[in-house]
Amino acid sequence: MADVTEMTNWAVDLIGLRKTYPGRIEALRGVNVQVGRGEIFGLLGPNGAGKSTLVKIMMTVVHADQAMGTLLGRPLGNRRKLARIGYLPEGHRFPRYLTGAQLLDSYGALAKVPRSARRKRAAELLERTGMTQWANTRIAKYSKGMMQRLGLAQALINDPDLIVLDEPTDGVDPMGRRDIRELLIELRRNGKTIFINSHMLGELEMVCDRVSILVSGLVARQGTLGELTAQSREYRIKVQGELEPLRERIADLKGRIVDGELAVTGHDATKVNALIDLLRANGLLIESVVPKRFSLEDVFVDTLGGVRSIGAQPARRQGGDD
Amino acid sequence: MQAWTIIVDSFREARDKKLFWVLLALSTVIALALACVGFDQNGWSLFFGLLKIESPVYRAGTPQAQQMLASIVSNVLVAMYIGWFGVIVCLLGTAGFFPTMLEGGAIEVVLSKPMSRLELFLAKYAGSLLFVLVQAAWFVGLTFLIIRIQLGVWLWPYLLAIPLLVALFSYLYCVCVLAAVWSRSALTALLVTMVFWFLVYSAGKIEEVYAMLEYNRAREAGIVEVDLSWEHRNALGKTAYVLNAVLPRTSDIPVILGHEIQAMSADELVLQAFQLEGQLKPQDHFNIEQEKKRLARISPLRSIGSSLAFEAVILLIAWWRFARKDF
Repeated sequence: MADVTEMTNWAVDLIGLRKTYPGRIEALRGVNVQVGRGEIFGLLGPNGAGKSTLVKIMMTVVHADQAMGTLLGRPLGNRRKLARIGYLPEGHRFPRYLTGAQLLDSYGALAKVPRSARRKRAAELLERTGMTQWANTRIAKYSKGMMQRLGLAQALINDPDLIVLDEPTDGVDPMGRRDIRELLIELRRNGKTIFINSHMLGELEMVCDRVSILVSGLVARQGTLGELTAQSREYRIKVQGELEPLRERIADLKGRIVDGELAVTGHDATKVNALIDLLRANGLLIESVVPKRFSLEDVFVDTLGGVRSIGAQPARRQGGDD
Repeated sequence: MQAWTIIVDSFREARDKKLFWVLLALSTVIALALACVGFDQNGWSLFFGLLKIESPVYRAGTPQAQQMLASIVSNVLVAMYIGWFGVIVCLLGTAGFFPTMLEGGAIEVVLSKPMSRLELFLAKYAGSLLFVLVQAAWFVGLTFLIIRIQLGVWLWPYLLAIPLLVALFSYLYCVCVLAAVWSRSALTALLVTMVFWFLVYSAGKIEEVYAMLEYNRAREAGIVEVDLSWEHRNALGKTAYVLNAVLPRTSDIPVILGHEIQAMSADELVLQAFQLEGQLKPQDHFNIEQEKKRLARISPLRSIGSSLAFEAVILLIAWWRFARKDF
C-alpha cells in the first residue's frame, strides 16, 4: 500500500483542506490543490486569501481542521517525509548568532542530512547562491537580500524532492531575482517539484507551469498558465472607418469598442467571425485581427473581480470524479 | 542527532549573551575572593595573608577550619550567590530562549524539519538548562579546587552542588517555559517566573516560621523532638504543609547541599564558636541539638522528588500547549 501511494503522480495532492482560526475566521474553506511531480507550481491570491495557512498546513506548522491528501505520496503531516521537503517561510528569521555556514549545518542536521554530506552540500549551496564569501560572517550582519539567499540555501540543504517557497524573491534585487529564477528552472530540470507562494505575478509567470488562485479560502482558478490565459483570451480588431454607428449591434454580438478598436473577450472564434461579417457588411476595412494573450496579472485581477461579484467556488479536483 | 543539534544551538545562543560572560567573570572573581581566605598554624587570614586573625581553633589542619570554609561555601556562596543572584541572572539570560524560538519566521523553519514537537521541546529545554549547568560547573569547579588548595582535602560531596543548582533553576525555569509558550513574550515569562518564585519562597518561609514556632514551643517545654506531622498541625501549619507538598522546594537545596558536605548552618556555626570559646550556656547545647533536628527533617529524596514531579507536570502542560499551537 505504501509503495502504491509513493507512486502517485502528484507531488502535492491536497483534498478538502479546512481551517478556521479562533474568532471564527475561516482561512481555508475546503481547498483542493494538486501539483505534479517535476513542475513549478504557483499559489496566488490577495492578502488574507489563506495562502500562508495552506503552506503552513503542508509543513505541519498549522493544524488543519480537516485535511486529506498526500505530500510526495505520504499522508499530510507525515514527519518522516519532511526530510524530503525543503521550506522557506515568508519573513523568516534565522538565529543572528550563527554564521551562514553554521546555519546550514544546523538545519541540515535537523533535516537528518549526514554530517559529511551536509558539509559538502552547504559549500555547494553557498557557492550556488553567491554567499561563499559571507559563509563565516554572522547572520546579524546580513542584508535582507543575503538573508533570502541563505534562506533558499537552507531550503535546499537536504536535496529535497519538493521545495516549498513562500515569497522567495521578497527583498531581493533584480539581479538576485534573476539568479533565483534561474536556480528554480535548474531545479525543475533536475526533477524537483517547486511550490511557490508569491505576490510577484510577473516572476511566477516566467517560471510556473501551473498556478492556483486562492480567494477567500477557496481555489477560484487552477490550471496551467496556458489554460488560464487561453480562457481569458481577447481579440482586437483594427478597422478603417467609424465604429460608433455600429455600437449597439457590436454589443449584441458580445463585442465592445476600446480605444477605437473592436475588442472581443474570450476564445470563441465564431463570435469574432460574426463581428467581422458585420464590419464588412457595413463597408469597413479590416486592417488586422490580433489575438491578445492575457498576462497572469490580468487573469488574477479578472478572477478577483469575478469572485468578488459571484463568490468563489471550490476548485474541482483534477482527474477526480467530482 | 536532531536533539543534539538543538542543544548545541541553545548553547551557542547562551554564549552569544553578554550576561553569560558577565556571570562567568563574576563567579571567577568571587571564587578568587574565597581563595583570599587562608589558614596557617596560628589561625586564619583574609586578603591573601594581609589581615591575620590568630585562632587556636580555626587554623590549618583542624576540622573546625574545614567546617568554617564548607559553611561559607554552602551558606553564602552557593545559597546566596549562585542560589539567588546566579539564578536570577540565568533566568534573565534564558527567559528569551523559548520566545525567540517561537517567533514568527523562526519556528516555521524548525517545525518543518522531520522532528517531533516533543523532541524539539525537550531538546530546547535541556539546551536552556545548559546555560546554568555551565555556570554552576564553572563556579563549583573553581571553588572545589580552591578548597583543595586551602584545606588539602578533596571535598567530593561538594560537587553535588552542580546538579542541585541545575535542579533549583529547573524548578523555576519550567514555569518560565510555560509562560513563554503561552505568551511568546520573554518579559511576561520572566515576570511570571519571578512572581512564582516569590510564591514558592513565601510558602517555604511560612513552613520555616511554623516550624520555628513549634520548636520554640518545644524548647520552652524542654522537648528536643517536635512532631510536625499533618495530624498535629494547626491551620497555618496545614496550609504550609500543602503548599510545600505541591510547590517545588527551592529553599531546601542549600540545606540538602550543606547536609551532604556536612557543613554547619549559620546558627550552628555561631553556636560552635561560642562553644569553642567556652561561652556556651547549657541552653545552647539544647539549641544545637534542635537546630540539627530541624535541618534533618528535610528529606532530600522527598524534597527533590516532589519538586521534580511538579516540574514534570508543568512541562507536560507547556508541551501540550506547544504541540497543539498553530504558528
